[in-house]
Amino acid sequence: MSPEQFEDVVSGALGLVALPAGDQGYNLPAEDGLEIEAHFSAGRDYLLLLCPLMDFPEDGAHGAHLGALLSNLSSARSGIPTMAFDAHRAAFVARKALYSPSLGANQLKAALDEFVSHCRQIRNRMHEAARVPA
Amino acid sequence: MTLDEALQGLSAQFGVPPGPPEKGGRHYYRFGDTTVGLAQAQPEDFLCARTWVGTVDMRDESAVARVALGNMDLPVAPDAMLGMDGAGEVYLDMRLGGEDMTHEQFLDALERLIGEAMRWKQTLGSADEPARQGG
Repeated sequence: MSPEQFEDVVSGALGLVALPAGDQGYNLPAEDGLEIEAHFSAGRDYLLLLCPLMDFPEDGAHGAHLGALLSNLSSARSGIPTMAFDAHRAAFVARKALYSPSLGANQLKAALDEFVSHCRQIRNRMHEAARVPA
Repeated sequence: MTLDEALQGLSAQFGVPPGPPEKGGRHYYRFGDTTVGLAQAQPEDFLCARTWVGTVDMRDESAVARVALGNMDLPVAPDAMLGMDGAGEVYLDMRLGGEDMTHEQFLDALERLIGEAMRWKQTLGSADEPARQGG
């Protein structure tokens, strides 16, 4: 898929809403409050999917970093999004980058649906874990 | 692209038959100074590539944070991801494939992975790769 086709599919067919001017991205709010952002890379060859999952803990940041990095070792094999830390938002985010040249037009929608489904599962697990007393 | 197709493509291009899989079902290839392990992913038309980029002292909170925050910005290979095992070994992984992936796209992805790995080796001040990569 060319960068132009990539952008056409994202903006035209998937119902994503453009973020405010100056931000090269789109927003896909889900019904249950899950917010998916999609940003193009400068060369339009990547679509970066981000989903804030939980605020960054004030205490225990080191443990959170270690846990996320350990979990990331299974992401490439399973397809589960990368656990990343967004310093600007002070939040855990799920992250996935789609590379347009090796992505078929019919695969983009499936990839987005899979990302949303994974993010929902991860967020629910994180919130359940946060409710369990230490 | 399945793992078998990827290995056959590499074998045909470089004339090196794939060796038997090692730990984690990975087949290792050496590209210049960088070793890349290839393994089957799920579903089976995907594969995963892994390369070692360095070692971090797990008690060093700022060093661990730098790796964790690095996952937000991987300029050479945005579709890669950094992970770390329980011994502080840091790996750069990439999920590759899909049924439409060609051999050329596969090589391009490996090139980006290796480029990002070289950047992180510099960032972490890594010297030689371990004799046997884990994970």
